Amino acid sequence: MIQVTVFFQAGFKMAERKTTPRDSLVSWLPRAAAIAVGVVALLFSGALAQASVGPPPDLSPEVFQIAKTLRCPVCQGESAAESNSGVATEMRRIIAEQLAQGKTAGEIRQFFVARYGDWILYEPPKRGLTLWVWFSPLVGLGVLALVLWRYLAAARSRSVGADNVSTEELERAEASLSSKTEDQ
Amino acid sequence: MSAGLLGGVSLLASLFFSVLGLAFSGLAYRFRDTRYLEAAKRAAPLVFAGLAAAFLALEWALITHDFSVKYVALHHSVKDPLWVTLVTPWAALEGSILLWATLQSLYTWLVSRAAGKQLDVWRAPIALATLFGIQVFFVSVMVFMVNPFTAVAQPPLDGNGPNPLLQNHWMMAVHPVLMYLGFVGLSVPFAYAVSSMVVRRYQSWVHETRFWTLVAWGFLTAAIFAGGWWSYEVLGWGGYWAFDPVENASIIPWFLATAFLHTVQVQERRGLFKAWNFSFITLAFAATVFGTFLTRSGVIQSVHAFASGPIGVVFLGFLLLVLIVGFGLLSKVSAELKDAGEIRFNSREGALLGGALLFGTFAFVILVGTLWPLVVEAASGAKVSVGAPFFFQVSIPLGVALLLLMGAGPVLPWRNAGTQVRRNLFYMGLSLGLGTGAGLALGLSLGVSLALGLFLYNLAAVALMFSQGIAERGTSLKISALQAFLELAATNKRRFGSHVVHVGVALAGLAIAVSQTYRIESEKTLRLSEVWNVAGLEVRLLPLTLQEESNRQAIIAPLKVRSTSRLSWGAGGSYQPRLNFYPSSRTPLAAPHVRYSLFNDYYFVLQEFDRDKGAWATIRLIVTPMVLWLWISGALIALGTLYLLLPNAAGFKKGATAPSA
Amino acid sequence: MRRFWPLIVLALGGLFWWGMQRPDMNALPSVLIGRPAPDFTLPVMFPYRASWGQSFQLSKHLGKKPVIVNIWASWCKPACYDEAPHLQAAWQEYQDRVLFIVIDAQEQDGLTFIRLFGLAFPQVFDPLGTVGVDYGMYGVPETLLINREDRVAGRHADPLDPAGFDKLIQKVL
Repeated sequence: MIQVTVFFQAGFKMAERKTTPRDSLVSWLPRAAAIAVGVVALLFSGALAQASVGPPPDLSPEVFQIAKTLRCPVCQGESAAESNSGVATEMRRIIAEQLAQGKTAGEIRQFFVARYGDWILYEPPKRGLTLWVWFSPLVGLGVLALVLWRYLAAARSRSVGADNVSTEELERAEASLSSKTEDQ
Repeated sequence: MSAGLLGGVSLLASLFFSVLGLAFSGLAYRFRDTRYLEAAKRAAPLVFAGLAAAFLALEWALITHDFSVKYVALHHSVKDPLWVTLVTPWAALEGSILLWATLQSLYTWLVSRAAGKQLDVWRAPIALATLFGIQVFFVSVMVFMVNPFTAVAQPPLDGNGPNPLLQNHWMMAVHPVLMYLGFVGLSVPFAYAVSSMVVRRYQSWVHETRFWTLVAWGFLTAAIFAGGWWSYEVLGWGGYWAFDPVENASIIPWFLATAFLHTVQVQERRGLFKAWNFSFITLAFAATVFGTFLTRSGVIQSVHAFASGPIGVVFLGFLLLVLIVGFGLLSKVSAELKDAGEIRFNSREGALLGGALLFGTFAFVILVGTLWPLVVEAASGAKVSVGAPFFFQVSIPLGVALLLLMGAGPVLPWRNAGTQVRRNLFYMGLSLGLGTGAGLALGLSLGVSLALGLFLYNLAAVALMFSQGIAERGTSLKISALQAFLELAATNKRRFGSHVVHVGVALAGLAIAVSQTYRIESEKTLRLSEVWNVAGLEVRLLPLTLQEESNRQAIIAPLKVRSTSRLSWGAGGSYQPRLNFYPSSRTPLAAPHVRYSLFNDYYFVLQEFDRDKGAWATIRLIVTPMVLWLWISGALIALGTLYLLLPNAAGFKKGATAPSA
Repeated sequence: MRRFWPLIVLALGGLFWWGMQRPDMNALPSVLIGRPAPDFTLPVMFPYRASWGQSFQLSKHLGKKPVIVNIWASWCKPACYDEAPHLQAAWQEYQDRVLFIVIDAQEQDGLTFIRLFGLAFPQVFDPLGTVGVDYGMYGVPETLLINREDRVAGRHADPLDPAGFDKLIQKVL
């Protein structure tokens, strides 16, 4: 049984941020975990041991550049660059690994799309239905400009003959004149 | 009497008075009898009193840890610090609607005081009926669906406390209240618009609601800036705006209200654009309801989403009702709204319309982008994301066009452009070109250079207008330039205030461009006392410490930072980025340590730490230039708006709108 | 505009109405359905080593029986804890016809969990979460179904109840 507890302690680092911080937070303060690490290293095969002890490797800015365009799957409103969740951490690790293998940003994004679908992309792809959202500024501007143009044309046609002064304005001017006379 | 009972009774009382107010307003309209109007006016303060009492009862229940109230049991903990307890009313759905309703009743009361005076007796009944109707809706939602005073049979000894994200920073005390004040405030111009369409008097409401629209707009602007600052300080990724669906929901009404504030001037001045103003204000108010619907229905995922429930349907119904009332009335009277007049593009009104076009497009794009995942799913069943990269890209051309118009618009005179104007435009264009060129020569990116050019262009516009005004006044009245300036600022508030707001917006544009472009982000896992040389700093990690606080525990990674380059001067010292662990949350919240400066902000975040031995910590450093200027620009806009709202100086005819020369 | 606004309001209302009545608004359909199940080799949790060996390789077990892969984490309260007894019951019912395998997103409190619910089928753990990414996981618990032809046949995010397990498993029997 003792082995089992050691095993669990060592895996602790992997634990995504825990439910019960009150117990877990202080674990390294009183206890020396050096022995545990040693045992763990013996217990597991190389890759695994590497993963569970020692600090995470440093990632290049390029990793974050790519991660920024990907959604963190378990978060809301965060990209894989920003989130600290286990999945996002793993995504950044995978990105770094694939960059080291010489893959391009597009290929890496494709890797995630193959697993999650287009949903994982923060920037909607410029094809299919999401192509239309890229046209939305043009559509919006076009429709509004059309409506505005029609309005202005109508307003101008109504004002023709009034010598560029609208009837409304004449009324207003008259009203203000008459109100002034009333005031006096 | 327990807080829960008091709150429940107060809610019922305010519902009763809201219905009464609605009924009396209806009778006043039906029988054209001002006695009913007087009665309706009296109901308004009573509704406010009831809701204020209910709100205070909720605060009281929270302060006294009255866990027999379900809301308190779910969202409060005895361990919460006092300020967290005080802001808990708007930390969850029920309480936030109570705050909303309370603020709504405050506006209703203030408007009711104008009824019969500025708001004439023909329109007042309809305007009040609209506001009371909105009031009845919100109070009914609380009484029948999400009552904040529902009791629990067996009160727990302690609760979970509010969502940790909301207790992580004091801005949470400010941002939601400002947001609600802005959202709710837009109901007032909407009520005026409805009454104007019912009574068929299409002109005067725009003069009368200028004040209310500006109040709401000012609060909305302040709330958006406060929200940005909150994001920056709390979310730990060093950004201030992420185009999250709820952020979008707050910016859509802002764009529409801004469009309204500009087109209104065309109607005030030339009587044109009546139908557009009705549309813009209906859309702006509907957009606030849309934002509420979005956060409370779960229809689109968001960070800010409250727990969803049947309430989504009710808000959807309310949203559709607002749109139907607004546009239904408008299409009924549209035959009478046939404006006549000619507008040249190179005139003030032309620029204002151009601005409205861009603001409308902006609102449209953000709405479409926010809803597109839902549209795609409805059409094909596939899930997609439309995230910040999209919104930033489409915002750039629209933003540039707006900044261009913002400079030129106020320089152009009404109706027609003359030679004086051409010279001004020449100088402005020159500063745009020189600024952009200088930026490029300094090796700045094209976008930032353009932003610099646009900023100078806008400054030049304001400076030219002032200097000409001062010169004219100075020579004709034979007074000093300073005196002329002060007199101009005091007498022509509207113009002066809007210039300040415009300078603020131009500064915000520059700050956004620079901070988005020249942000440096670096992350490294440091062992104890290891030295990290980054961005002209020498960062050393000191032993991690654990801090026990009443409502949370925190791991702090103290950093000793020394500046090693001239550029990072002032960034040295000690930093304490931390991870806060709240009992109710699985994931800790990173609280960054930020050092603000007029040049660069240094932002340290503790990402991860060695949970076994405390031997290392992963630190992220984000260096962003000019973020502080963004907050300064927000303050400028707020001050400018405040100046616009100040009562007119003595010597000005009260109630009359100052002509915007 | 005068004629079109009711249509626009109607369209918006319809869209939102549709959006709200979706049974699971946040469910993300898996793009892996119908594709070969990604293989994985993961260390087996301590108590199961006697019968399953040190590590578990999925591909060695494919093709004979359909496989249910359940991904969970011990911090996921209460969802995973609600689901565990149903998972155990489903195993009891289908153990002869379906292979059950549980992937622990991390193993920290795994033993407590096993003790609590007596999960009698093999548990492996995925310390980095690589398998989670391979299967497009976006939350725990998640249940994946692999048919006899080694292809992913279904995915359910969120806890399953007994009826849910039956419905999912019936797809491949």
